[in-house]
Amino acid sequence: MNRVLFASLLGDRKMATAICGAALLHLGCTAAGHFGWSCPILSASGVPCPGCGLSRATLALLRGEVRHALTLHAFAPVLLGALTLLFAAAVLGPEARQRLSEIIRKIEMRTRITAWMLLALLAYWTLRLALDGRQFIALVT
Amino acid sequence: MPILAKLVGLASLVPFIIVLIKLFQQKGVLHGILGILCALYTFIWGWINANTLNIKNVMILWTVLIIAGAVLNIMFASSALTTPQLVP
Repeated sequence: MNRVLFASLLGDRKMATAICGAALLHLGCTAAGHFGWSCPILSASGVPCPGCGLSRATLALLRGEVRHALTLHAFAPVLLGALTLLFAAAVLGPEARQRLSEIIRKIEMRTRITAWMLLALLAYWTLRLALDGRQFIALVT
Repeated sequence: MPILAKLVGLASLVPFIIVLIKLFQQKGVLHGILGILCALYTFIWGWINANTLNIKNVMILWTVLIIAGAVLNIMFASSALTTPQLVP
């Protein structure tokens, strides 16, 4: 399995800008109470995907409501950190962006942190569904 | 109205899966898993690579379905708010 994921996103300015723009638009719509991006898995099956609830959790985190944010989704701080790095990659010049991408690439190669994070997110989602699925669905829908 | 929104939601799963398969093929397992966990990433990646992968029609269909779903949800939400409640 390829170990590098996040560094490749950071190294691609077009992708970093598009992700940041879409995330800001979606967070803005969610904050304003409008309908933002709807998850295709949730809208088709009624079962939230592992990322469902992250937007509201991130917004709660930005408002300083840490406990509420972590109740909604424990990965909100991770997403906020990732978005901050992507925003930096979008606004930095080519050299600085490459340097940032290279630093993250080394960390990913050494620790496989992105793969572990994705696995942890899957495990977290499975546990939430298995332990209290009904409450989890009610919380994020 | 909710049935129609559900149908649109189900239909949007088709372009999502098509783009997801392309994502797995082009970028590998890790990007593919990210694409499952965050459909917004799949959507953005699909549009960025729409011309090179020849999936522009799929992306247009997905975008139309997303907009239709959002419009239906807004219409359903506003009709739910304006419908007078029956008081016994």
